[in-house]
Amino acid sequence: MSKPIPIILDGDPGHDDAIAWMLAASSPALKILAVTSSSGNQTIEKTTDNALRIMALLGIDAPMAMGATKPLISPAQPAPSVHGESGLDGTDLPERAQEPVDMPAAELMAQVIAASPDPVVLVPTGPLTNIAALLLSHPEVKDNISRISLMGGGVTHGNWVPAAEFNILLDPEAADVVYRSGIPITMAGVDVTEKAMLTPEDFARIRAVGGRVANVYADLLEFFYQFHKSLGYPGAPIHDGVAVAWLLRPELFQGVEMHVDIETGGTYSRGATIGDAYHVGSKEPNALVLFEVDRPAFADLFVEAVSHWKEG
Amino acid sequence: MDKKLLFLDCDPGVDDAVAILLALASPEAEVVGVSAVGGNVPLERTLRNALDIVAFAGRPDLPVYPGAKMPMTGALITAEDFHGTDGLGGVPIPQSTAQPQAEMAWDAIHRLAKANPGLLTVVATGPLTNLGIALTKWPDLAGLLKEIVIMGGASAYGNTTPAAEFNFLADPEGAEAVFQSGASITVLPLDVTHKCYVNCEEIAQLRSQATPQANFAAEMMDGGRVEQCEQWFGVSGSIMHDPAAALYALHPQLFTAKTCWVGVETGGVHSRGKMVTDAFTDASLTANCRLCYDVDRAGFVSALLSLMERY
Repeated sequence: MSKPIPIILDGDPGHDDAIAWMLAASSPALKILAVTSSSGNQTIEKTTDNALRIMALLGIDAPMAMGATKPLISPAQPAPSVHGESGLDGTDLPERAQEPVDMPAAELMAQVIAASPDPVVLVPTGPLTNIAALLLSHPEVKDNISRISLMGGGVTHGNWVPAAEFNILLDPEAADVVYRSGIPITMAGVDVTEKAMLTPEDFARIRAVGGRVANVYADLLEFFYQFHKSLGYPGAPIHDGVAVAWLLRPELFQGVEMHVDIETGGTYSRGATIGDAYHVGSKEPNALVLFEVDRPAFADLFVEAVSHWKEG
Repeated sequence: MDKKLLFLDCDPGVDDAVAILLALASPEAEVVGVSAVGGNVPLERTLRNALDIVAFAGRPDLPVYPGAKMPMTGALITAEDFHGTDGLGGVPIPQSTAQPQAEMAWDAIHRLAKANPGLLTVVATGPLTNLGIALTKWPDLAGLLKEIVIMGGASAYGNTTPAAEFNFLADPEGAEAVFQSGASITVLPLDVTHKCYVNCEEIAQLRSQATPQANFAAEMMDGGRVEQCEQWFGVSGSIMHDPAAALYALHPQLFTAKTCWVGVETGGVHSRGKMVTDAFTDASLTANCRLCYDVDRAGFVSALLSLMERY
């Protein structure tokens, strides 16, 4: 078996971040070098606490750093309607087993990237504030970042507002820094993530695995589904899970290489990811934009992943 | 049944030319006027082309009104690379001696709407400058029109910039003024017009009608455009953007639409002229239009061919 891919998880857990991280932690194909929290679904204090609790639950053995308090220029805008007041409502999580390191997220990322013998893949599943801070403050580590596999945006439509998806909308300036960085991007936007659903049948399969991790994740999925059910979804779209699943099983997805620009201005379009599908612009592709997913196989990945923590 | 009253506001333009021929051929519609706007080519060309096309369709008497030379703000953007410098792809058409009306497009639309309250449909297939001016100048106009049918915009990818379709990019302020006017609006963006294409076989069927009008329309569709549409947009035929709007006005049952909100971006770094809609998102805003996203293509082509058959 080939060497595991070194990754850094940067997210704002958040139900789907927590689910994505479980998939990452379950796989011997990935090695988690560090975990960092971002301000997004909830305040940075809450996402940091949630990140530490998830790490304790899953036994993720890596340093953790707290990320930026707010986006580059915008105020923070938590989303309690989707993730609850804690940012991870609907279950009981263990207490944290470690404290964040005494340095900013960008600094921890820079250190572990510099120290890694193999190029690192960044997996941001929240607003891109920390990644932008890393690229701006430590441009010298870019050469040791092989790819950014991110959840954010949508070239065919938005979700939180008509033109924009939540993660990019919250910090368009940071996204602009990331998309113009020259680092190859895999973009799991709502184009694909709204199709990457786990259904109530999948939740039951996860609970049936048994044990604490399986029960926590079944709880999280059931909570996360309630919001999406009210919007008419037949399941819970595991947006952030796609960013990890693509690293493990790229053959489950179909995408198109294209140039994507981030809109930072405008009346309606702030946070839009503008994809040049018809090649009418003059810029070279900077992202693999995912569009299709083998949904049943995607769901099976998570059921198998939970089995990693099966007790007894 | 009473005939549908139509007013065509356009920038001919190869596909505008076909749209005009279709509307004037319909036994179910009465076209009460045509206006031109600067767009695909400058106003002096679009106006001349409009006069020549209505005469070619056998209606030299039909009033043709001049409109705006320039968009509301910003510079004129044209599309000679697709439409040729004459706007008709170099395809010859008999020169009409008819002259444009002295009345401007925005005043004519208002006068005709007021004379036929609740009955007039404006089919807009160019930049929305004339309608934007009309709806701003005449506050009662939005309530007097039956409907505005618009070809323009794209909910996903633009065809002129990555974000914007040509007509909306050419006058984003005009388009935004129309969408926020309160008028009853149906929009046919690239989402649906890219499904309104005619393939080589269908173009040959049109040509076999052997009338001057059918030959002219076939030339508009042919001449390398099939290859261009395939190469640029992955569409297997000549895209009939503007005829789609005309056929929606005549046969709305061929189309599938969604009631939704649309705004047109006037600012931004990359997004000027982008059509923004909540139609395909979790967000939900107060609806201001119907957005067509699908078509019965076989029915579309068959309607196009039978209207052209009437020449």
